[in-house]
Amino acid sequence: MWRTLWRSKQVEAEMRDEMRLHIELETERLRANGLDPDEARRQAHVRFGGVEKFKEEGREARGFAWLDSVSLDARLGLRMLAKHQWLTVVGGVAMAVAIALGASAFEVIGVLLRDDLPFPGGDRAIAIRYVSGNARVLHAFAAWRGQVRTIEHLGAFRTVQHNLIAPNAPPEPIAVAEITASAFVLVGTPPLHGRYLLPSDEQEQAAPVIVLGYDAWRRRFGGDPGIVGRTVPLGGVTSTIVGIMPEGFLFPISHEFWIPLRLNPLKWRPWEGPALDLFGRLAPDVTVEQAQGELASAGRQIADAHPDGAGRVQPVVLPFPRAHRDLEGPLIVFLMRAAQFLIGALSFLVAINLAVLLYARTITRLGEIAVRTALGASRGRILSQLFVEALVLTTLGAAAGLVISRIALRQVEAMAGVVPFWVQYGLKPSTVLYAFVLAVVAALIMGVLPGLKATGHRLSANLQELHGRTGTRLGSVWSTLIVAQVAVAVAILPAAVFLTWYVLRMEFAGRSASVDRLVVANMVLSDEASARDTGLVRQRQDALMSRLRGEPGVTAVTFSSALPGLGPDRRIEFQPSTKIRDAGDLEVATFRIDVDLLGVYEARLLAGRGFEPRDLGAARAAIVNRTFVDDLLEPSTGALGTQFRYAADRDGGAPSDWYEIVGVVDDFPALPRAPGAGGEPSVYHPMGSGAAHPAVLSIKFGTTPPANAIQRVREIGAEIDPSLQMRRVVPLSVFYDEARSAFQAMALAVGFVTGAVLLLSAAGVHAMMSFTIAQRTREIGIRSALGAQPRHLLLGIFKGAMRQLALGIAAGSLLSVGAFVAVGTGASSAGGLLVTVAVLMAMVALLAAIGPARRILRIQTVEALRTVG
Amino acid sequence: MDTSADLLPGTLDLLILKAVSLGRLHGYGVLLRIQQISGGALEVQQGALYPALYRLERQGLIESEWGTSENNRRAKFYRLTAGGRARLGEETASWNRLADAIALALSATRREI
Repeated sequence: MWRTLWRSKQVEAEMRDEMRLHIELETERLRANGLDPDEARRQAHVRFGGVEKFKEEGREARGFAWLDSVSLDARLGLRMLAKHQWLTVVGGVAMAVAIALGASAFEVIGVLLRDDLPFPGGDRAIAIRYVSGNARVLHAFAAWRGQVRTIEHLGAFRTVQHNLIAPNAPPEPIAVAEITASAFVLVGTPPLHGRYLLPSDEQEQAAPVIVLGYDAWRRRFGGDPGIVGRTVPLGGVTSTIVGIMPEGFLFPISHEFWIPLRLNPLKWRPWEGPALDLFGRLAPDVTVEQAQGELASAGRQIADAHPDGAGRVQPVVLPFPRAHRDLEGPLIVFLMRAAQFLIGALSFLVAINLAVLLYARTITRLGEIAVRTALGASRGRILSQLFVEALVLTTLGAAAGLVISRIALRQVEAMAGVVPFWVQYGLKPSTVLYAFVLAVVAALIMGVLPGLKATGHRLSANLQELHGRTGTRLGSVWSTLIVAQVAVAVAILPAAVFLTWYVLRMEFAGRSASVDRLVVANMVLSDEASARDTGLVRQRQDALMSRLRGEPGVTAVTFSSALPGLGPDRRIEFQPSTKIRDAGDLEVATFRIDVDLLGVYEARLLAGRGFEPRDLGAARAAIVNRTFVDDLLEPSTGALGTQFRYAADRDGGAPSDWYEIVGVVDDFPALPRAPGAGGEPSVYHPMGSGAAHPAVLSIKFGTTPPANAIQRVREIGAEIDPSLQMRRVVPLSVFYDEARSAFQAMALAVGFVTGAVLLLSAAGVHAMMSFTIAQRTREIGIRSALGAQPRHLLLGIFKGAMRQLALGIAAGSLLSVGAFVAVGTGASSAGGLLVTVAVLMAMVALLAAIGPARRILRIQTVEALRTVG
Repeated sequence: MDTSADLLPGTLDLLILKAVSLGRLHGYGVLLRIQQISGGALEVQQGALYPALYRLERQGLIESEWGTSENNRRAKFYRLTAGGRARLGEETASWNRLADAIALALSATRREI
């Protein structure tokens, strides 16, 4: 396109030079024949003929004429955008929001569903999964490794957590990939410094080595290349750093540390040992099906050799990314593709909507179109003009939409935290192309549909439009669209208002002061055997807590089995005599807590008592929160003394013993849950030190925790036991902020869409009113000349429009009530919201009608009667 | 008596091909050449020459390059291509057949019927 443009400029200059030379030479010839210079020049021009006309013919002959008309149309389009500002704003915003949604969905779903990895040969990278889900395949892996021919570089990895003690930094638990050396050959990325893992490193007697990722090397070792060859304590073992991988190398998932996988199959019985993920690359010219076939027969051999494990190994070969995302099943993939398509289709809905608005504008230009047709412009020429005009608008919208999408995707990326290395959101060329195609199709709908309808009129009828008679009527399709649009706006508004209100409430209220003074940490013992040793866990935990209590500023340290507010759900049942609200849904969040925890979290006791040390032995006492009482029990049931137990789980375990409620506390620490849900029914049981692993420690400070609090917690942990891992050490408020930012982003997205729909509705109402006035200008003029009251005039004109508006609001409200009932919120509590929304919509419509109304009142009799003509 | 004749529709292209077949020419030169080889009998609308030249160039019958004219002006010169030469041959033959036929028709007398 740019080349054509550049060439057209060049051709234009050449044509000008060539014709100028011709006229000069002719002038000289005529002068030589005796004419005076002026007369010679005049005659040369006359003999040549109209320069512009021949240039135009020349362009046509060279095939550049279309470019001329397109650039003219584009300029006209820009002028139209400036002239009809409201249409530009409405159309631009609506298009931008629609294309932002479409492009974001295209990008995100495209990335989530990709099947290749971003390195040479990454499209042939595969993972092996098992139908049974048992990943303890050490024996099978050892057998396949030397045997399988269809898969190259067959390897395995597992992710383990180890404490890394880098110089001048507190020890920190890190995720390490224990991986076979074949991974590095598979990816084929050379190391930045030193070397990567080699098969010899996998030998049991080999010295412990570690390879660092680029970011980890920069962050923890200051980017010092001299670090290669030095040793570093890792999980109680001193390992030699042998290499550093370049930036962006994060294979297999998002790893930054790699140590050799050293697993001796002889140490484990078949189908035991650590869970492994297998990977590899299809050999050249081998299909997934062929690899699948070879593994299946290899699997059968193993099954024959170990009859007790028969049927366990049913290997499935999958593209690597597909095996490592939680989107299994063709149905989910199909649904995501459908979502991608539907969200893209949204921009077509917007385009159809805008087409309706543009139609109203095109109608006002029927006269102009008729004149051009009379002067010889073809229908195609006029349609192409309308198309290019619309394209200017949709392209601007698409550009703005892509910018919004880029910002939104960055937000998504920031919120998603650590993601697999192949998940990279950016605006890929394919996404930009997709947005542009959306813009072109939208322009076709917006420009050509109204154009076809407008140019379909008889010429003479259109010429009459020049005299201001607008006999054209808006079709029923348009009216229906406006009603539908208002209905959609009214239907989604309550959700938007509700979400916004929820976010605001989180912003201004709902969290107790103690939250800002708490730091939480997960204490984990490094290996499974130690973790099962309750005595060891208690010893470490007590030592840790006593050291933490001695820290300056710390006022209390307590512990629990899960972070308060984020406990696992379990099903409970009551004694048959207990009066309960609804037997269907008895899921509660459960926690085991230190007897002091309620006090440290400043949970308000509403009834009964808190835990006491004597509760530890009996373990029958339970405390519940206010939501538990409100949601599960009949108001007449006194909570205290009520008994419940945990129901038999689905795997056939027996129900638990009966517990008795001894106290009721207010909901704490009021962590935000999904909008629409209140607090979560929660149960607390007393627990002694060492009874839960991992243990969640809550460290409370007298004021806001000092900046080095997190580092101190880690240091103290390492001083007690270098292999003791302090995972996820963060201020409690961080949990709030994470949940809040997700809801904020959601509210923002819903706000954008709602805003766009509202704007479109307002524009629809506005266009409908304007059109009505244009149709009835003469009637209004006569009636006002006859002395009609302005109020009556307005009412008379807008009656039809108001009826449509009311219909839309009613339909939308019904939809909205349906939605509220469907999500379980009673229609009664939504009633106020619905009225508010209806009023809001009516106000928007009124605002949209102000302009046309003022125009009615300004219509002068004389002006109106002039149109009688 | 007026000795000049208007061009028949469609003949300009043929004349241009003929003119440039006799040697490399710029636009104005094509005009002079046509006048020269027609003995000054054919009047070409001068401006119309250029759209015709561009059309022929686009069809690949002639090709152009920039050069310097006899009086040292920058000018665009046209030359016949192989395709143009073939087309000129066909068109000339076709024209001659037509001209002969028309001449024959016009020379008919009552006795020959």
